[in-house]
Amino acid sequence: MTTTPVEVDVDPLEDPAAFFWRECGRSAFWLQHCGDCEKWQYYPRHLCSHCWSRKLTWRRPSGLAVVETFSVVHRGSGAFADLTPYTVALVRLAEGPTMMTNIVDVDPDRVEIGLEVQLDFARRGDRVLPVFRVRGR
Amino acid sequence: MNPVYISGVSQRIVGRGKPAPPYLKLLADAAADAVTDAGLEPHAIDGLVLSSSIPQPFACNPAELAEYLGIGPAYAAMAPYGGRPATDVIGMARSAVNAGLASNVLVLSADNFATTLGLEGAIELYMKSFDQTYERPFGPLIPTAFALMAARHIHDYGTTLEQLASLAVTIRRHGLLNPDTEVSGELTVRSVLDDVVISSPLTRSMVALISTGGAQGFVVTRRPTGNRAVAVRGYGESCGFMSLTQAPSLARFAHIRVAADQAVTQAGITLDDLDFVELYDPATIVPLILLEEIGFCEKGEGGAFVESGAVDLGGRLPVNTHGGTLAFRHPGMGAALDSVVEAVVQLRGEAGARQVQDAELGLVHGQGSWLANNGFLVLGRVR
Ligand SMILES: [Zn+2]
Repeated sequence: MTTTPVEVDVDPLEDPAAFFWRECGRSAFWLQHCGDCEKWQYYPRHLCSHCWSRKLTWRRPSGLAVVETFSVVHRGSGAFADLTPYTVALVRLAEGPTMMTNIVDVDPDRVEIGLEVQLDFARRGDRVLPVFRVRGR
Repeated sequence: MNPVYISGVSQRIVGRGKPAPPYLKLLADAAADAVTDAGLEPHAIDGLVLSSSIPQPFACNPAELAEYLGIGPAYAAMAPYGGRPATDVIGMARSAVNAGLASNVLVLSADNFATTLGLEGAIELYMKSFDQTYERPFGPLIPTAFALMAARHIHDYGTTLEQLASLAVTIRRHGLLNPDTEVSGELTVRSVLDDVVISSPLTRSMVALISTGGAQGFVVTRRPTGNRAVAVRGYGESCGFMSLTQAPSLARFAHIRVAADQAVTQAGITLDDLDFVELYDPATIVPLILLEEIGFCEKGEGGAFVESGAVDLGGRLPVNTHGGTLAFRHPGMGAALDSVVEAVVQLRGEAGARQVQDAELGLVHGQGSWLANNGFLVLGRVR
């Protein structure tokens, strides 16, 4: 049995998005961390957007986040029509960056700004998405 | 910076739900009308700036369009697709004139959704504005971007849904005074709140129309031509982010003030000197935030400001006198250029029932993708 490393170098020859989504596909969520300024960033890039360092590694963050703002979509378009009503949120990760996600497995009326949430994964179509659910549930 | 002039304008009306003419037909009509309006002959045009369209971003490059129109020799440039505030093309024309590259620059914009895409196709296309890799997979609608701002503004400042609705009522009232509006019927705060929720907390009446098309033309000149020229007194532009996740906040946008201050400083005026403001209004929360960030009211006071009647025709700062995208039309990339046309019409004193009395100075705002990139024009009457 192999253990998942806690840190891997960002491969300069690989599209960071490809790494990110491939790893989500096996339920692993990675953020980029800068070896120079020690900040985290999302979305992943080929350089640190804070200090322009190229010394980036992938690290596994805590998976804890807080809802910054959210909206319940009632009129989905295309493939999303079947999912309505669903909650689109911006969550602030404990490590600092903000990401867009869905808050799942909760009555949309219970979602509020400041709600503490934790990472989970949801398969949708041919892709596994990093989503968030109410912490402790 | 020397002032330049908008000596001619044109605006092609398509009408609610009607199929728009072909893209090049819209551009040709907008060109001919604008040059006529400027009192110029076509051969006087020595510059062309093309605003990319949303449905046909790569239909022609500016050299091809110059050739098609029989313009040349001429400076030819294009503002590319996506993330731009549309007012930028007036700034580009001004730069070309000030740099000595041209004296009479034709600025054109056209959008045509109807013939190829239909309404659903238009919505899909607008959705492409979201980051394909990290935002689209979570299903935001275009109104969701503004809903996320509204939710946070309500949370941070106690802004009410009634205040967000009242701005829709005001702008609808203005739009109904515009003979070319695509809407009919008054709104009330109640009717706005009772409308279908698209993306909470926003109802359909709080978000922009989707139109089948339209076009705008401008002739930006070194010296006024004709006798109805309007002066471009200032232009500022500032980009703060593109993806929603990269915005420092969805309730506070410091880069808006940077762009507005640039325009106002160049014009040598203060905000109190402005007689009207045309703000891009894809959802009512957007002008409300803009009024705060530009500095017309304190941060967090936008809701109270619009509810007070200050932004109504007859108030101290009429906003979106033509109805904006909420109550005139939203043709595509040219939405903010409809605002520029309106400002010129107001400063010429030709706005009819919606005329702002003694309008001398107006501010026009254009937005690229959810307040990400903002452009401000100060236009003034030529005395
Ligand atoms: Zn760094």
